[in-house]
Amino acid sequence: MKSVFEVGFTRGLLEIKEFFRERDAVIFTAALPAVMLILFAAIFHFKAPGTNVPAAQIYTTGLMAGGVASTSFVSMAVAIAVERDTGGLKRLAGTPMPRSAYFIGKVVRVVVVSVIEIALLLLIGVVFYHVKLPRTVALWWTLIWVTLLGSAVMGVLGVAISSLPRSSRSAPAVVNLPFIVLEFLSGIFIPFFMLSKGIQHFALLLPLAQLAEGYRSALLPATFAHLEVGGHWNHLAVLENLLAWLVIGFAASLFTFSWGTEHSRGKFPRLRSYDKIDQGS
Amino acid sequence: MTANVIEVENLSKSYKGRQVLSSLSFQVEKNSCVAVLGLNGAGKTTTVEILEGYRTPDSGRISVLGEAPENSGSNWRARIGIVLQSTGDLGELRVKEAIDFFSSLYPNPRHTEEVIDLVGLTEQRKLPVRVLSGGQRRRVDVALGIVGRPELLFLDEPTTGFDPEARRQFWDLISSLKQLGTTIVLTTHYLEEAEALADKIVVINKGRVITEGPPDELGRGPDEDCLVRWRNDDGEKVEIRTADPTFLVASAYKERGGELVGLEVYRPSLEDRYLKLISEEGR
Repeated sequence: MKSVFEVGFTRGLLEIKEFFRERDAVIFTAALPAVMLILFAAIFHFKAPGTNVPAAQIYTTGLMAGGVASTSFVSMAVAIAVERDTGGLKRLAGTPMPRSAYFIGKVVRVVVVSVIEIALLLLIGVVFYHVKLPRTVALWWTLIWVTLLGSAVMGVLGVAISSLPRSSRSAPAVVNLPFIVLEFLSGIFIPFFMLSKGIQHFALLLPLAQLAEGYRSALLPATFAHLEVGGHWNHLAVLENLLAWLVIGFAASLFTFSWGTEHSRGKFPRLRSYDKIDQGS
Repeated sequence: MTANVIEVENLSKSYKGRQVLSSLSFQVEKNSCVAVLGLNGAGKTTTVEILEGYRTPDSGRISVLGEAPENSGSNWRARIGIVLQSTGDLGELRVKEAIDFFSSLYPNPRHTEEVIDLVGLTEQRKLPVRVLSGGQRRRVDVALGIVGRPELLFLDEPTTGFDPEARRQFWDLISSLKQLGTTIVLTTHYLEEAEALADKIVVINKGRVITEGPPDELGRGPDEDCLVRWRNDDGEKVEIRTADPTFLVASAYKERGGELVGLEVYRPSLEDRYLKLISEEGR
């Protein structure tokens, strides 16, 4: 018998295999942020005030954050709702698999897919929009930890929200509304500095805006920093915020997560109805 | 350690004020196969899911492999195998990959290849589960249920959607598992399946056990009606129901003074007896 981490890691690899075999889903999941980046770059040609930074570069960083969120938060919430509906979760709950191994597997999957998404968007940004790769080891390190931590946070939040939809059919609809609101508030579609100060301060409480600031700090020139809240890139705030949301997401998952069995019903009120499983013969 | 793998006493359960199980009791002996029968909504799945630890009873005493399922941990889970009603979660995984992963969850698993041979998927081992037929997918479900070398195996309507040949092969598989020492709890709607596999049948109706016993004794009484049939001299069919078939045939033979053409005597089949039991109870 293997340790929790071995099982979780094995499960993560298995999920990655499964994910990549659904080629149409892979292509469209990866393409969505890339296509939006290309559209935004084609539509907007302004430069950030007081800098030489073109809109396309700002959108590159924004959609990297948005891309991480969609490959982790949205796809995780939907994938788990599907697993619950098809009986996969219940099957796992019937085995001696340590419960945490399942979540470790999800994190492994989400991080790998997000890294690929980030690489793709970065490639587009560098090739077409003259985004400069980080020039120092410290900035590369920023790019790496922001991506790893950001995708883990978004993945865990996806797990937490996955028990909210009543079924896998309604999952995309339920998850997309909060996600799109979050994207607007976090400066993914409209550059963050253009939002009102009030919205900026509020949004910086949420993880996506901090994730986007992390990417701006790693990839945009130092002259851009004066447009941020406080006039500089606040890595400590990014780190603190993401760690806090990691804890919140993890705790919420423990409370809300349902394996599709009576024992594991979350303790939160939810939209999900259990009438279906209660009608068992 | 008792000889009973499962002991259930006075199990009760209600959902939102609707009584689903009321003082349900039965036992499953070690190394036996018990079939739980009942109409849709009788409480079969609820009962089995309580035994599997998926649901909590309102009251009653349950012991499965010496533990209460609701408090049990992974050591207990490692000793049982569960084949749920149809699932659709494996999609893109290949047969061998799925079995390999599930085998890694158990302390003393069967070899993947052994399991693949046992369920008869040797030719399909490298195929994604998605492309398998319904019957083959069900075999994958069974493979995942037995890979951990369970002492106790739950099968919830395992052969729904099988063609007759696949069903026969499945029965052979279950018989060989039983020979290997596995205790089996089976729910099914197929009476001939219960007859072929079970040492004991437990009939549940309206959340109670209405009767239990070996398949060939279930629902039989001293006064059960047999169907006796032959053809008279004009070639017309004579059909008589009687509790005394030997007496009837003997007197008919005496009366005719010779062979009764096309004589057939039927004792009620398990299905006849089962339906009678349930209709006597009222639905």
